Order: sequence, then structure tokens, then C-alpha cells
Amino acid sequence: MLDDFGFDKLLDDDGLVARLLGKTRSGRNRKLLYGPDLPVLLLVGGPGTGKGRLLRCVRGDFGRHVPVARLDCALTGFREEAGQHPRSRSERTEALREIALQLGAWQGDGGGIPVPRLYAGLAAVAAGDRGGTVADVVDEVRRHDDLLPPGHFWRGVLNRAVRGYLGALAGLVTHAMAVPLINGVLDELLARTSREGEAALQECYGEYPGAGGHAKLGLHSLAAHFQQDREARETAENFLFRALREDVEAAYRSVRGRLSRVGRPALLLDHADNALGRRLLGPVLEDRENGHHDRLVIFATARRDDGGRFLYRAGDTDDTGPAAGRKPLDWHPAEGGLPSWTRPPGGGSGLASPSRGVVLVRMPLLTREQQKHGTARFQSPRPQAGNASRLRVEQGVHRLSGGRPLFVARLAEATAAARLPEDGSDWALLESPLRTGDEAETRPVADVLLEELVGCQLPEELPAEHRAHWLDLLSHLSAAHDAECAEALMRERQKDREERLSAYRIAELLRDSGWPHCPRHFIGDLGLRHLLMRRLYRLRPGGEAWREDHRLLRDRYGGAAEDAPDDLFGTAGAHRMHHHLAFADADTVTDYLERTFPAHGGRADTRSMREWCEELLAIAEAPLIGGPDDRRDRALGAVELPGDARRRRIDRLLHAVRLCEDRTRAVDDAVGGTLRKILERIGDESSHGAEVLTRVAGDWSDRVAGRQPLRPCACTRHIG
Amino acid sequence: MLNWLYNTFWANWTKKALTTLVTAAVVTAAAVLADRLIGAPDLCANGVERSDGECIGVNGSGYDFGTDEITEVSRAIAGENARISGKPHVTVAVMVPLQPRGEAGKRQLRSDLQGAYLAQYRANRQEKSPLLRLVLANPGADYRQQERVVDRLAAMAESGKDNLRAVTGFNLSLASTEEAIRRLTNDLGIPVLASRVSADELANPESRTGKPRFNGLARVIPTNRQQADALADFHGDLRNEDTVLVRDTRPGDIYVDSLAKAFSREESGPAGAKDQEFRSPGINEPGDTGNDFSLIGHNICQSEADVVYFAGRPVHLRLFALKLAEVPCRGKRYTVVSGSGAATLDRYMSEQDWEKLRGTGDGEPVVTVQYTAPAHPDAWDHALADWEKEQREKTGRIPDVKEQPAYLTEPRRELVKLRDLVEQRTAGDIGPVELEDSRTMLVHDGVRTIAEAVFLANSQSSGTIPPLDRVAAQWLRLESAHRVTGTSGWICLTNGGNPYDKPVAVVELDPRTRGLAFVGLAWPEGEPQPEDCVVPSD
Repeated sequence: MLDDFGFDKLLDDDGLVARLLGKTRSGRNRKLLYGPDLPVLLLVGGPGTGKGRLLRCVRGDFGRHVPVARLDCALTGFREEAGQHPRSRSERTEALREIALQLGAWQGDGGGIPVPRLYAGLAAVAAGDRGGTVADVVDEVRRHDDLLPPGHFWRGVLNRAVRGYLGALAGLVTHAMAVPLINGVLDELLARTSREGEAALQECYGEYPGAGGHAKLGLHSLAAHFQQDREARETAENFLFRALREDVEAAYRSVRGRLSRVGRPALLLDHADNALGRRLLGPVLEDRENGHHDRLVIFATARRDDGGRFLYRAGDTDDTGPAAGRKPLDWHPAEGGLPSWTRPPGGGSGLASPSRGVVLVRMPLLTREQQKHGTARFQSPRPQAGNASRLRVEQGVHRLSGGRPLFVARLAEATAAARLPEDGSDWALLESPLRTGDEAETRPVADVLLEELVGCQLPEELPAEHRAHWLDLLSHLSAAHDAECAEALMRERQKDREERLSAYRIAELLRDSGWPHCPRHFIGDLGLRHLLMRRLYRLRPGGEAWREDHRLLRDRYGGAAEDAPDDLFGTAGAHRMHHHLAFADADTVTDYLERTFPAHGGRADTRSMREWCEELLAIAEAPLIGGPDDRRDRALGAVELPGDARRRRIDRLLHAVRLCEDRTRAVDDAVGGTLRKILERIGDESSHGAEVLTRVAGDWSDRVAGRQPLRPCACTRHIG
Repeated sequence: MLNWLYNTFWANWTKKALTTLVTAAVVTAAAVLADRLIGAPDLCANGVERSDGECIGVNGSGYDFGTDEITEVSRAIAGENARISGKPHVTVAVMVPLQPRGEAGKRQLRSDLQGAYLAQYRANRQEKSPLLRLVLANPGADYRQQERVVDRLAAMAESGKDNLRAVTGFNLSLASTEEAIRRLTNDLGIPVLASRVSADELANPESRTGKPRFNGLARVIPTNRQQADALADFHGDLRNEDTVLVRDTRPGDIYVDSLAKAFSREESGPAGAKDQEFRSPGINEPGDTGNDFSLIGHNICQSEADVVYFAGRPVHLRLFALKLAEVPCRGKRYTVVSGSGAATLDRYMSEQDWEKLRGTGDGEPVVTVQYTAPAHPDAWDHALADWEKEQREKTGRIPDVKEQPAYLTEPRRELVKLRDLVEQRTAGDIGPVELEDSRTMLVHDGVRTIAEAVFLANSQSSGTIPPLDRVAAQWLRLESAHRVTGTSGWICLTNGGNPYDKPVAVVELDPRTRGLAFVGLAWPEGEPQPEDCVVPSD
């Protein structure tokens, strides 16, 4: 799959990225969008929606025309580097260093962006360490030498050769210092600063809290704050980031910058919903809210659909409170046009929600057309494969992927090489072997996908002790529908552990990971649920884990009265039958359905035919995995069954509905036709509820014909 | 590719500025280079193209057409043109071959242009409007490429910037000259004033009815016929047996033809020797005519004739005279008579040539070459002296200055003015001026005549620039009160545009002084021009 597949609207010549950066992918100038106040662009989308790929595209295509720095906030490298000298480094200073180095390495129009302000700050921070030896501290200061631009002169800032300054720094080691080293370093720096550079530093660090307009005082305070507690250090770090952005701003505002630089520089923060990303975005949002504008275009990725909790203050997400309506601008590229963002009025009190400065850019899901296109890329080299096979794959990809680009790509890639059974279900699709990376062995694509979608990006807040069995827990949860079920499962599955993870917490973590919520399924994403169900089935030989989980859930409802109300299934009995059907025989379920059929007498008085039909749908939704599949035969009446005619019809109805509700295969036309026929036949016989049955028969057959699910659900909405 | 160009040359302000500057520089350099590289083979100068090894075209900005002799005068013309460029002016083109090969030809050309320039200089200081701008038009050797130049002149006549109102020059009577004049006058309606061509074919015949040959052609030089008449009158009645005609039969040279025709007129007495013909390879090429001339010399020696009419070009005339002098003929002395085309014969003569003409005898030259010059600087003084002598003999007293005839005094005054201008060098450096060869005077008079016509036309029409047809119409008015007093005599134009009874100077080569000696004035009508130069009706 091409790197920019599905991003046309974002990346094209008048798309959002080109207008923000002022340059198209090919380098043509474009009128700038917004400014001088810029929003932070949060690319929001769950796993596998291509957020990182989009950033790579921006970096690769636009990075040739404007300075672009890209940072993966999920990497632990910065933390490790900081850990080596915790007193003079932090994760954020390392990240800022990296950004500065990348911007400084820019080779295009205008050349690298010099960062004198950031350098001064970092040098002060490094020199402010009172714990180390003089040599160590000077080494720490010298570590930032690479932030000094190459060449002899640091244009506009150091009025003498950089070499002289560096020599003076080295000299500090050999001369015993009576005063703290930081004085020596700052004296050398400021003494060698040109008037222009001094003004720049004055303007920047004179603003530091307590500096009173003196750069030296500001740098001293900065260094001191960095050595203090966490809050003070954060202030210092925030300020360092501001210094870096002022460096960028100065590079564009200078005469040379105006003549040679075009557009805006960009900072791409991948996995910005991680701690580092949040702590980088936070001060930017705050500064911009307070009027410290800069032209650094920040694209950050986030998985949570609201962008991340750090964007909101308490009460922001209430729909009714005073903060209602303060949600950030939410923009879908598919809508076309450009997000018309302006900072909402108000704010400035220091209490404003950070989300005011954010535009949530929803990662585009692939349309059906794009899915076909993407699939066809892999399918095309197979002339021997028939049209039917291609269609099968396309439909399967459509059902399972939900438009998630990664899902589409992996499935298409895997099925390209494999030969599929003509009439197989999507389970067969998930079994297709796929070779990833340099691995010699192929693995089923389902395993690869689970690894990439879940295993590689565990929720940040997932406690370490649960990381190892996180996937197992989710697999078990694929059998659950509501939180209560899930919680029961979790208690059972973790009963040997001291530290347990509640289902409610897991639901929260799933949301943090960007997985959608479905009111009727605990795992709200159809594709993920299928991956997990498959995994659950294979957790133990013979699908034992699957059976156990469903048995557990069935039995959970066994104790309750059959007609006790149930939110999702209507009655506890139906809920029970659903799980029973999932792992055991259908006859019991048929019995149940016949027993509860309104015309039967029994509870006919208290139940309507419509409720019975709803229950039938809920029960029949039970997935079929492994085991023999005689549903079609039974639906078409090809199997001899005991009992009277109505029981046989109800049995046929159950199996027909079950086939129609099975989301892993296309609906059989014959079954669709049978469904209507049986429903009408049952209606004929029943004096009771014939009208409802007739209407339902019409409804259902329409939906089947339209390839719609009989029972619409949040996670199946994309199918059709 | 487009994107690469954009990113490399147009992506930011610095690149835009640099690209613009560099492009401008490159375009300028390319234009200059192209002008040099491409223009060089085709353009000799502004308006002058290279063609067949010659520089053909029209130029008034000082280009000397590679002829060093005219460098000063063409620069002077350019200076005068520049001086008047801001004021209302008309353009007059001098159409003569501007790249002659021989030394003599170059000096003749210089004389022509000096005359034109001096007339321009004087006309532009007469406080009359419009002023005259002179341009040099080179039709190529023997007017062979006149067509392109005429095209260019036609464009200049239509252009409101140039306002070409007359073309003068025309120093060779050739078929292509005739063609050029025909197109200019009949087809394009541009007034032409022929100042140096004497062939009868290049003149409108005098007749009251019928169409003129050239519409709007005027001349300031008598035709060959008129010159021959004048010569005949000057020599008195020669008997036929005393004369013999030597003629060049080279086709296309209408000067020679018309001269031969003029010399072949009826003479009294018994018939003389038959015409002696020869055929030269070109106007300025002697070829092996020398052999012919030796033989012709022997034949003439045997005949009674001692006056030889020579219908040929100066180069051949010189050769003929020398050969004739070489042929021993019992001490017989000849007079060779030729037309005004020989006006610059003296310039072809070398030291040895003079010696040959002089012969070995007692001082009387063996061969006296006599010819008509359309003008001579000594003419008026001599003529006046002769007139006084005659009057004194007639009346026995020295005549009063007031009695001196105006047809002599007015041209003399004009000549004095011209000579003063030349000697005082007020008109700037135009190279050495030799009035003796008559060319300077003739061309000067031609341009003066044009100036008078333009002034006259302007006084009768609205606007500052008179239209073409008005200028041509003024030729007919230039007589009597509006006669033009030239340095070569009164110019009173007939209805055919010919000067009426314009005197010619009879000159002879004087081996003793090695120069031209003025012999006397000759009048085509046999008598001087009438008082006030009123052209008679017939």
C-alpha cells in the first residue's frame, strides 16, 4: 500500500497540510491558513488508522520544502538519556534538543534554523548543576555544542568566533572557580554576544518569571528552577520550549528569513497522547492561549476520540454545565473544505480549557471504493484467481476492517498470496498467512494484526503487571456484551491474581487506546472483536477457553428467573440462550423459543410477538466459531428434526436468522428468501401477532436484501 | 520538471529576486550577443543590410559604408540630422553607390556627398521650415540592388517619422538607374531630382502634349544632347569630314548611347570617317580596349578627321587619349571631345599620362581632351572677363558693374558663398573639398533646388510637412521669379523638369598645368539664358 493511501484530502495541493505549511508537496507556495494564532492539530484516530504514516508522509513530502522535525513521544530513548544525568537533563530537554537538531539540520531555503535562545537556556541548565564536578558540568555544557550552527560565526548572536567561546568554556575546567560555574558560563556567553544577540536573549529570558527584564537573571532563575522540585522544573522546561519556538519565530522574522524562508516550519509529534507528548503540547497550548504566538505548526497524534483527557478541565466534558459547548473544533477530512478555526472568545483568565487551542482532525477511514482500490493492488497479480475470489476478499475486508487502513492493508496483503475456499467465512480470511518484516515464518494475518493493533501499543496507563496478559484479558472479554458480564468474566479469569483489573477499568483503557464503544458489545470494534474471538477460541485446544467463557456467562444467568429483564437481550433467559448457542447445541434454544412463543400459551399474555422477535435476534447473534456448521441445512429444512411443525419452523427460523446475523459471511439469497417464507408461515398459523410477524417478515427480508444487519448496532454500522 | 524549476528559482523572495535579475541580465546579454552574432552577417549598420558582399540600405546616422573617404562627411551629415531631429523636418535621400572600388570613384563620391551636405547645411540655416534631413541610400554597385533600397525609401515616404519628400543623387546613367527612377516617380510618387545623370533617356522630353516619361522628375544637369549642342555651338561649324565618332557599344549604358546619339547629329560638308566602335567590359574596367584604341588610332590617323567625338566613360577616354597620343601620325594634333561624364577625368591621370598627352614636340600637346563639365569653379570669373572684354571691344568702354548680366553674377555670388563656407570650415570637417570636378557644385545645386521646392510647397499647404505631390508640383514653378540660383548657373525648370538652357563649362585637360583648364561657357540654346530666366513657350 502506498504511504499516502487514503490521505488525498489532507495532503493535496489545497488540503489542510499544504495550507498550514504554506507549501504543497511539490513545493508550490500556498496562502497560509490561520495566523498569527495557530491551533495545534491533533490527528485523532484509533489504532491502525494511519496517524504515524500520515506524519511520515508530511515529513517525507513536505519536509523537502519546509523545516520539519518529527518526534516519537512513545520512544523511551529520551527518558534513558535524561536518566544518565537527571540533574541537568530531563526527558523534555532531550526532546527539545532533538527538535532543535532536526530544525538546525534543515538544508532547504534559508538553511538550518539557529537556536541561540534554546542553547543559552540549555547551557544555563547544564551549568546550574551544583552536584557534579567542574569537568562533568563543563562536559554537560559542551554537550550542547552541536546546537551551535556550523561555521565560524554565529550570525547575529556571538560576535566573535564560536571557537573562542568554546575555548573559554574549556578553560573553565582548568581555572579554579570561586563563584558557581553557572556565572562563569553565562558571563562568557553574554560577554561574547553581539548587541543583536544580547537583545534577543534579553527579550526572551528577561520574560522569565522573576527576571525583571535581565537575561542573566532569567537564565539563573531558569537553572535554579530546573534543580528544584517537579513543579519548578516544569516551569523551566515549559520556558525552554518557548525559547525554542521564539528561535523559530526569529529565524522567520529576520530580514534574511523573510527573504529566504517561505511557509511555516512543522513539528510532528507521534504518539503525543503519551506523557512526553502531553507535556510538550500543554505549554504550547497555554502559551498560545496567553498570546505568545509562534508559527510552528504542530501536528500531534492522539488515539482517544476526544483527543485526550489532558485537553479538558474538570467539567469541560459535561454536556449541561457552564462549559458545555467548549469542545474543540472537530473536523473530518471527508467533509471537504478546511476547518474554520478561530480561538473562541473568552479565556485568558488562566482557567481556559487547553482544548480551545486544538483542532481535532479525524483520521479518515477508507471508503469502500478506496478499500477496493487498496485490495486490488494486492490482488491484481493473481490472474488465476477468479472474480468470485476477489469479491470474497473485498467483502471480507470491508466487513472486518471497518475502513481501518492497516486492517485493509494487512488483509489484502495476506489474502493476495493465499487461496481461499470459495464459500468460506471471514474466519478463513483471518487465517491467511502473512510474512512480516524479515521473519522467515509466516503467521496468520489475525495474529499479525492483533500484535500490531494491540500488542505494540499497550495503553500507557496499563499497570506493568497486566501487560503480559492484557491480550488474554481482551480475548476473554470478546465474549462479553455488557460491563456486568465482562466484570464477571474478569473476576473469574483473574481470581488467582492479587492485582486485578476491573472490566470498567479495561473499558476505560480501551477508550484511551482509541477503540470505539459499542453499547451492545464490550469490545466495540467488529474487526478487533473477531480477532479476539478467534484468539480466544485458540487459547486452549478445542476451543475450550471459548466454551468456558460462554458457559460461565450462560450459567451466570442460569440462576435468575427466565423472564428477568435484561438490558441488551430483553430477558435473562435470552441472554443465557445466546451464550448457550455460542458454544453448545441449538436444540435447547429452539425449545426455549418455542416455549416462549407468544401463541403458545405460556407467557403469551405478558409478551408481545415483537419482543419475541427481538429476543430471537439477540440470541441468534451468537457467533459460530469452530465446530460443524449445519445452519444452512437446518434453515432450509434439509435436516430431519423431532417435534411438531411449529417447532421445526422455529428451528428453521432460528438458523436462518443466525445465518443472516453472522457478520463473517455474505448472506445467502436462498436463506434470505426462506426467512421471509418461514416468518409468514408462522404468522399464518398463529392467531396471535400475525400482523407483527408479517411486518417483521417484510422488514427483515428488506434488510437482508439490502445486506444490512437485521439488528443495527454501532459496530456494524459500516456494513452495507 | 516544472516543480523543480519552481523550487529552484521561484520558491522564496531571494530566489525570485535573483531569478529576475539573472533572467534580465541573460536576456540583455543574449540580445546583445544575438545582435552581434546574428545581426553581424546581415546588418552593416542601422537600416543597412549586407547583401552580395555589399552594404545595401539607407542610413542617416553617420555610417560610412566602409568607404573611408566619406567618413567625415557622413559624420557631419549625422550631426546635422541629430541637430534638427527635434524640429519639423523632411528627409531627402541621396541615392548613389556608396561603395565604389577605385580611388577616383571614392573621391567623386566624397564630392557628391559634400555637395549634398553643404546644401543641407545652408538650407537649414535659412530660417525656413521644414528643415532638411539627409540620408544616404546605397543601391549597390551599378545600382544593381536598387529595388530593395527603393522599397525602403517608399516606406520612409509613408512614415510620418521620416517624411521622405525627395530622392536625389543618381550619378550613373544606367538601365537600373532608370528603373529606380521610374519606380520612385511613376509608381511611388516620390519626387526625384537627378543631379548628375545626363543621358537623354533619363529626362522627360519637352512636349506640350503626351505623358511625361517620369512623373515628378527634375534635373539640374543638361542632357547629353544639350551638352553636345552646346559643344557644337562652342566649336562653331565643324565639317563632317573633320570629325569622327568613337563609341562604346556596351549594352545598358544609356549615357554612352545618348552621348553617341548627340554627337551623331547632322554636320555640314562631305562625309567623314565612319563611326569607330569598341566594346568595354564595364564602366570602370579597361579590359583590352587598349588594343582596340591603338587600331582605332591608326584608322583615324589615315582619315581627315582631327576632332574625335568620344562616346565613352572616363576610364576609356583616358586610355583612348593616351593611345591616340602614342600613335605616330605625321605630327597631327587631335582634339578629343567628350561629355560631362568625363568631368573627373583629371583624377585618373598619372604623371606618365600627362607626359604622353604632352608629346615630345614644342609644347603644343599632341592630344587635347576637351569635354563639357556641368560646372566649373572658374567658369563665372572667366565668363565675366570674356563678357567685359567683348563689351569693351563692342562699346569701347569698360562696362559698369551694374550692367553685368545676372545669369553670370548671381551664380558667381552663390559660388562665392559656397566657397567661403568651405574655406572657413564653418560646416565642420567634411574632408578635402575639390570644387573643380563639378560634382560638389552640381549636387549642392540639386539639394538646393529640392529645398526651394519644399519651402515653396510648405508655404502653400497646411501643416508643417508638405505632402509628396505638392513637392513634385513645385518643380514647374521653379523658373522666372522662383528660379533657383545654383553655383552652376540659374536653374529654371521646364515643364519636363529639365533646366532650361543651363550653361556647361567646356574644359580641357592641360598637360602643362596637369589640371583642368576652363575653356569657356557653352549654351545649349546657342545663347545665354533669357533675362530673369523666363522659360519661353517653345
